[in-house]
Amino acid sequence: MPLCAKCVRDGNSDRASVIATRGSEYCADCFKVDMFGRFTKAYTTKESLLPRGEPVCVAWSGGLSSSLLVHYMNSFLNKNFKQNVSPRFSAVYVCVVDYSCLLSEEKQQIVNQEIEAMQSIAEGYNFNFKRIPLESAFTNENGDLDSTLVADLTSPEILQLKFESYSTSKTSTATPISRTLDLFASFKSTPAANPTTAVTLLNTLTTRLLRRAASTYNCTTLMTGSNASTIAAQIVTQTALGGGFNLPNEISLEYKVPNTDIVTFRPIRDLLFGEVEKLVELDEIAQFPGVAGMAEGLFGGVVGSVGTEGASVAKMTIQDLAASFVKGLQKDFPQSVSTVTRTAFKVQTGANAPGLDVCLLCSNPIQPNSQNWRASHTTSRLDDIPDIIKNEDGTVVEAPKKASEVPATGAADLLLCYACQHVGRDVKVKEKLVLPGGDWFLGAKKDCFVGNGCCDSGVSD
Amino acid sequence: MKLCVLCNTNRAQLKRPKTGQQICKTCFYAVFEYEIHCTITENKLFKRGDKVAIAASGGKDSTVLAHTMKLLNDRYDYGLDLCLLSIDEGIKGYRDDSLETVKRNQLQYNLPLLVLSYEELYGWSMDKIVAQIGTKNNCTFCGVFRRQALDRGAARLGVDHIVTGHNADDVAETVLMNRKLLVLFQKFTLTHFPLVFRGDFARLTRCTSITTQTLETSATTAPEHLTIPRSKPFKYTYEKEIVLYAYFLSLDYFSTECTYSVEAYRGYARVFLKDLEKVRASAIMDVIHSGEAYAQSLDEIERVEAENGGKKKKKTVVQKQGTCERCGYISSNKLCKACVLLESLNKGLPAVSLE
Ligand SMILES: [Zn+2]
Ligand SMILES: [Zn+2]
Ligand SMILES: [Zn+2]
Ligand SMILES: [Zn+2]
Repeated sequence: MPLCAKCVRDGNSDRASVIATRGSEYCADCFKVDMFGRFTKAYTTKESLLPRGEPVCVAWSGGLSSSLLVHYMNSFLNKNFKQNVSPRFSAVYVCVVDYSCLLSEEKQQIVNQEIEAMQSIAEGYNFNFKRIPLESAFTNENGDLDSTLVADLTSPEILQLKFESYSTSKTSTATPISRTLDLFASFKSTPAANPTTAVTLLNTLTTRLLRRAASTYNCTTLMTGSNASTIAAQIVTQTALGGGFNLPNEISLEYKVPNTDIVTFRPIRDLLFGEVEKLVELDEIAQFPGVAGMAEGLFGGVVGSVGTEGASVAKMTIQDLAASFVKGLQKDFPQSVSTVTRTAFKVQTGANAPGLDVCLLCSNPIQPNSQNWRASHTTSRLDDIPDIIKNEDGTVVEAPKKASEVPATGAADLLLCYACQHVGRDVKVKEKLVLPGGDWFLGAKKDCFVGNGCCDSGVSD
Repeated sequence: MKLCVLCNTNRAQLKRPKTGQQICKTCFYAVFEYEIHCTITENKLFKRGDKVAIAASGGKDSTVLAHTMKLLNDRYDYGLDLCLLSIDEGIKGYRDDSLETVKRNQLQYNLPLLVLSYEELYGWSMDKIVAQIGTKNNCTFCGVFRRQALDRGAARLGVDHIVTGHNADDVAETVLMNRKLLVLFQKFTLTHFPLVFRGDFARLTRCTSITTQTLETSATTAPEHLTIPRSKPFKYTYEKEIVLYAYFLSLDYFSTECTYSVEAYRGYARVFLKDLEKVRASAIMDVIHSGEAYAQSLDEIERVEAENGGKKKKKTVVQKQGTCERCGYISSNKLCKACVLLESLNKGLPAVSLE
């Protein structure tokens, strides 16, 4: 049996290794110390954006990584306490976004029980526990139905749109839950990209809810339990969704969310999934598979291997494909995850430049000049092809483009980042799709509402 | 009857791979050709009077490229002097037949053709190389030799520009298997790509940018005048659409896989890309869009690492960017990659690793 490398060096040669990782063997104690050290080291980077002594919001998905994070936060703050230093954070808010409204009753019960158990763990640590229902994406601060999730309403054009969407929502009998159900139900059919869009949207809403919770509780830090393996999958997913520009913000140790006081913080992003699993086992950290797997199988969810032929692939989401791609790679090349992340962490795309417009849906920065990128490389209307005029001297010029009333890019596309533009594009039955933010998300002309027949809304075949 | 969504007149005959639109053949040709025209003009790939060599292998990509370059040059009066440039690797049964295709293309499109053989350039044909080293590493040879062969052929023809048939799928694949970002994917993708000119594992910047000027060395250090600019008019053109276009127009191309690629397998990245495309048609474009956001930064990372590495090993710093001692080809080392491979071949050694 292999022995712990550090203990051998220190002369405690009898301690057996419990895990081989990062090219070395570790006994349980040395492993725990090393891993916890990586977590605390994340607080000591140069030019850190992290505020000190203010409330923190910890996103708890019920998964192993974020469960470990909650556990680490307790140890970390206890250590502050014992060492008599002022606590790094003045209060901890542990937040769980609850997808119950999308689940069967049977699943809801399991989720309920687990969330109660999570609450007692958090409260046992003296943390505040907040359960955030998904459908609250559609409520305003009073709990009333609000179909605008729009954070920054400065442009007159957007104000106009907001007003219109308000006027439609006032007359409807919708509730936050019915809005949420309608929203996700509109992704249940073809085309094949719909499950991908639904998962993207679910993730986007979750992030927005967490950010909103952080603001509500005056938290200036929002912590997530992303680990190196989930980040590797994230890199592939973001790339495949066209969201490469914002990748650095999605995976960096710290990310100041534009137009807010919130810094997103990912203190265990260097831990490999195998290491997280081992720590959870060694510290006997409670597991919540029901909550962690709430979204599983809701959309797509036919998880197969890369290269799976035929229909099953079309049923998978891009997120699933990316995850299994990374998994397969990791199996064949255990070092691959750290290789991938190490380089990706260095990539700069300019997405942290000040003053960029932010996406109305995901509230991340929009890549400058990217709004027409798709249209300029894909001709989807004959009107966009100019006539050719032959001059008398034999030279050839292109006629000015036929003045098209409607630009190829929808009005709402101009307000969304490249990756979020898929949301309006991929859905066929547009009148069913009500997003937080209003009908005008759908890529229709701003003055066009369902039924006018002036845009390609409505009837599916 | 389902009408074409573009013209609303003709019967829809195909589902366009890039957009999923049901369209007629006429509209397909129109959008297909116009997009390539846009890629050429918006990126200012050429100027009037340029002599442009079309890298022609006889395969579908280069055949469609020759067809569309000729067509667009006439239609839009680019004023380009076009010619075909073909490399004969010396693979019996495969290259013989594909060269016949290129020769027919020469007549069909009325373009001058230059064929350069490996035998002529290096003293070794691929058949001879395989006879010596087996089929295991022959793709390495093929890629390195071809890259130089194109430059040398182009120099011989006195051209200003080379165009290759790299399509959007090729570019997206390079984003996913980029050696810096997803370094290990490359191990899966060292496959044989004789039909199109994609064996050269270019850096991401070189692949996502439309025009590449330097080939053997990093873009920032190479003297520009030493190599001939290359570009990819098909950068945003889907492979599936190239196949459809060739099929509908009954273009004459050679479709048999290279004899030596039998044991090669397609890369993870390619399979993954095809899966992505099944889920969302625009995924190939989306990957390229992401790749364009990373490109500059990855190039910078690579440059910095090369500099840092250079500080540790002083010898490599002394060897300045220059030319190969033996053949004069642009190279950052004493010998260019082709000459290194040739040396091992001539000594009868197994292939050396290039990375
Ligand atoms: Zn130990
Ligand atoms: Zn967005
Ligand atoms: Zn038509
Ligand atoms: Zn040489």
